[in-house]
Amino acid sequence: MSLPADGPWDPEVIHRITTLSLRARQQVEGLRLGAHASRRVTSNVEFADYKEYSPGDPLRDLDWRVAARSDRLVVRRHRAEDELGCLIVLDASADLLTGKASAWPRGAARRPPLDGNKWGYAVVLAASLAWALARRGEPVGLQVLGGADVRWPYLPLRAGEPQLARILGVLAGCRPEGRAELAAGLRAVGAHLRPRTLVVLISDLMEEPAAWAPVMAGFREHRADLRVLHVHDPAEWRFAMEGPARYRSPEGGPALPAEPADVAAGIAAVVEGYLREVRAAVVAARGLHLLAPSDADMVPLLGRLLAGRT
Amino acid sequence: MTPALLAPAALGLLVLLVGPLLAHLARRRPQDDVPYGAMLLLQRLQQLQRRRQRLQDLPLLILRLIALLAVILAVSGPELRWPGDARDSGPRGPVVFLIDDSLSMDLRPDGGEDSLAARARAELGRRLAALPEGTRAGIVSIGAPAVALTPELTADPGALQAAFAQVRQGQGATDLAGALQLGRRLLDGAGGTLVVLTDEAGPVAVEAARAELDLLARQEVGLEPVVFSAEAPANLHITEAEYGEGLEGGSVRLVVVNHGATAAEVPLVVELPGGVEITTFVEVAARSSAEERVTVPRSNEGGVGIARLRDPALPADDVFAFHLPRVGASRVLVVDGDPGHTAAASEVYFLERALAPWGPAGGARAGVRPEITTPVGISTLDPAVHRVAFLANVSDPAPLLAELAPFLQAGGGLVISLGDNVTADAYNAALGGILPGRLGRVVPLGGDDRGAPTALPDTSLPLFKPFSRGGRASFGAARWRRLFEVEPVEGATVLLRTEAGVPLLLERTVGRGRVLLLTGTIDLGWGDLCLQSAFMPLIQRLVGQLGGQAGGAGERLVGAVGAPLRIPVGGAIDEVSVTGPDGPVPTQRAGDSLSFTPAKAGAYAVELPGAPPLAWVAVNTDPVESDVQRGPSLLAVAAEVAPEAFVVRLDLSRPLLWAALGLLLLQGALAWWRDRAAPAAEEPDVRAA
Repeated sequence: MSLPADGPWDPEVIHRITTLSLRARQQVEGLRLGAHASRRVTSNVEFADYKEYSPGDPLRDLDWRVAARSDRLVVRRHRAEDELGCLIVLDASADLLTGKASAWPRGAARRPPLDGNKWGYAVVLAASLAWALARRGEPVGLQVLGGADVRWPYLPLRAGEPQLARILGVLAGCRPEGRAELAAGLRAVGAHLRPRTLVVLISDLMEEPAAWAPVMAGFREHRADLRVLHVHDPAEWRFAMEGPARYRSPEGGPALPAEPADVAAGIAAVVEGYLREVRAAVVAARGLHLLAPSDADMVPLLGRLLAGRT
Repeated sequence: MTPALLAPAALGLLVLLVGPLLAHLARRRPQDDVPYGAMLLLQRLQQLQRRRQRLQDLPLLILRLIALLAVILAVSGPELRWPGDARDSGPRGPVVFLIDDSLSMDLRPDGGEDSLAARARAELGRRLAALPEGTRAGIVSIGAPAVALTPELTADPGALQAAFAQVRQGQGATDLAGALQLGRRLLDGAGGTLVVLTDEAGPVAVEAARAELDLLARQEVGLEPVVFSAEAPANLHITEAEYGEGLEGGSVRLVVVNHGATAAEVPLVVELPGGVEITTFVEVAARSSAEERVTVPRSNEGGVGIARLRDPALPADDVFAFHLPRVGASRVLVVDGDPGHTAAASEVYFLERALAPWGPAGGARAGVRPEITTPVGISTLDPAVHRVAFLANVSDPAPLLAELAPFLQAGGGLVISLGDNVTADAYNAALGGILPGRLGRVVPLGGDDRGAPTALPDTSLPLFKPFSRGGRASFGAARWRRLFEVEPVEGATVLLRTEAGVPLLLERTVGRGRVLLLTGTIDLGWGDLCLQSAFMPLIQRLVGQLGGQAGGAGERLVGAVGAPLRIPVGGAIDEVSVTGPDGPVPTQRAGDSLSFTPAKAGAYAVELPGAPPLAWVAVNTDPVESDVQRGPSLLAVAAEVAPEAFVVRLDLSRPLLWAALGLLLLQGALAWWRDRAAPAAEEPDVRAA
């Protein structure tokens, strides 16, 4: 019996799931698991900081040593080691196809390789994150924006191996296509977002910030912990291309003729301006913006992501 | 300023302009499609670059296009032309100086002592002194008639200085055309330059020289005007002075013109023959004229009067000479050949009423009281006393001729009216030598008792001139039942006719006197002219005209300063002399005529020793010369007549080539700066971020 080439039993998908699992495992093994902390500040286990006492604060939190030495009433605050619910939002727009391996040998493969392009980097990143959290038993969900062959565009937060398998299956099966429509996608995410959920957006953000920034800013109301992994190909941002050509977006739109030498001379300033806008949008949503160059080592990036550091 | 191209075909090279345009448009249009995942950045960059390209590429393109255009234009031989001084275009060589010594050059700007002519003379002296050694030159005066002061071109400084010494301020008109012609002839086709020292005053002089300017241009003679003018030219002068109507006394009407830009009030003195001076003031608005009248005494000698203004700007034109008839004491003798029994049948009655309408009680306005006599009393006719004699229906004129002939020769006036007493044969036989026409039979006129109407008179004739203002129609009311047929003799003039064309009033000059013949009656015998309103002024005018000239000069002439006058004087030419305002005037004889050229305005008398003047000549300056306002520019008119000869050309080829070179260098520098400045932008450290 032959399995259908288009579906969860697609051999290519199964192979990719295996590969993804291995890759994710490799990445996560490089991390010190359990080190990531909740952003919730409680009086639970781990000391966080002091604050001035104000009427109403539990008296058991008063630090008597400090009060005795300095006549100041301060309250000890603790960080709770909480169950972390994480929704991974993956941009599957066609732009992620580009990179060194954008023209992969098509043959029978319908999906791009996991190396040498932004898409592969984003998928492995998403899988690693899902793996790391799932293996800790934390609920993980997935929202895919755009793309094709997406079995489940939205997987709500669940814990456990079956959820990880579903996520890996979706990641392995889908391929980039069309536009992400970030504004609409983020709006959909916000609609079913639970408070204090960790939202990890993995995207190249190649849509005008002015379009999606207001929607992202709405995440503040959900008290979501937004972390944005800005996937990009540094060669593209330097416009290290070969010779003059008509450059076109895989997402469609008109092609633009360009001379790499001319473009390279001025693109740095454009990137700078663009990043300023992106960072401003993410900060407005009280989120964390992390650049994710597609040729960089993924482990430190995952560490910073989970530690909540830039 | 007119642009022109010497090789317009070279403009075909403009096609080359398409080259840079195409190069800019077709610059590296790639055909390969390459997927690019950060189009947002590229789009933003291209938006920026489009703005920058507008600042960089567009200026480069424009600079290149302009440079190419400049080269093409340079090849097509562009030049700018504008009317200008011909001194640079005219060939150098011999020089003829044309110096304006006409009246208008005597203008004293601001009433100073230095006239324009003096300045022009000084300039001429400087230029003569500065002539390079060996330069042939000549001098021509412009005042009419233009005179070549050097008979030919000369390089001798002594000869030139001698000619220069002859340059003096004149009072004549400007003869610029004549002077240019003389100058051209002096050059005799050798090219050279005419240096014209003039004031370009008045509207006529330069315009009149158009033809000559054209010839100068054809002969490639250079023209260099040196213009002398006042900042605010001003001048007053008298343009008209005329003795007005009036049987006994009258007035002189004067017209004063102000050519200045401000109003002026100046004293005006009228000197009458005999020494009477009448002073008045005349006020004339700016660039306008004013009329002034001075009353002439009731009795004054005839001759030439002088009106004199006191205007320091141009003194030479302040004098105006005018003819004044003998005024007052118009003694009239009426020889009544038919004393009528009633007023209606009496010529004397109507003549007396016409000449002295107020009668003896009229006092100062009494007019002329005619002396009445019979044919026997003709011996009382005295040329020294009487000025006009009437023969009214005298039956036998033969005894009268002995008195009438010398009276006429002395300048007296004779009026002959006919009637029933007159027979044609007797008149033709006795007075044939003085009658304006040969009398025929008496013819009845008109088909009824009313008779034939009189035709309206020609008011251009001096006798009828006053009727142009009114009263002319009254002649048409006069009807004639009978008239003598008359055949005018040679030299006679028919002054008035009936509507049917029958001569009614004829005139003839006899000696220095005049004879008028009325072919009808003065009274109501044959017609009713005496009842018409025109009768009284006609008789008064007739007596005034005849009497005004009686005893005066035989000829009253007018002349202009600088214009030769020719006067026939008959056999006594050797004894005739001419006296002008400054005394005797040199004359020349040509047959029976005497000619002279007045050099100054005023009264000139042509005289025989011991006799009344043969002729009075009122000589005035040319009124055009008194208009001291700047007229058309000599150079402008010359350029208009022959534009090609007076065009300044500026060859633009070389400046355009330099400009093209400069533009090419500039665009090269701009392109270099652009290439050098472009990579200077910093590459963002996206990894570090």
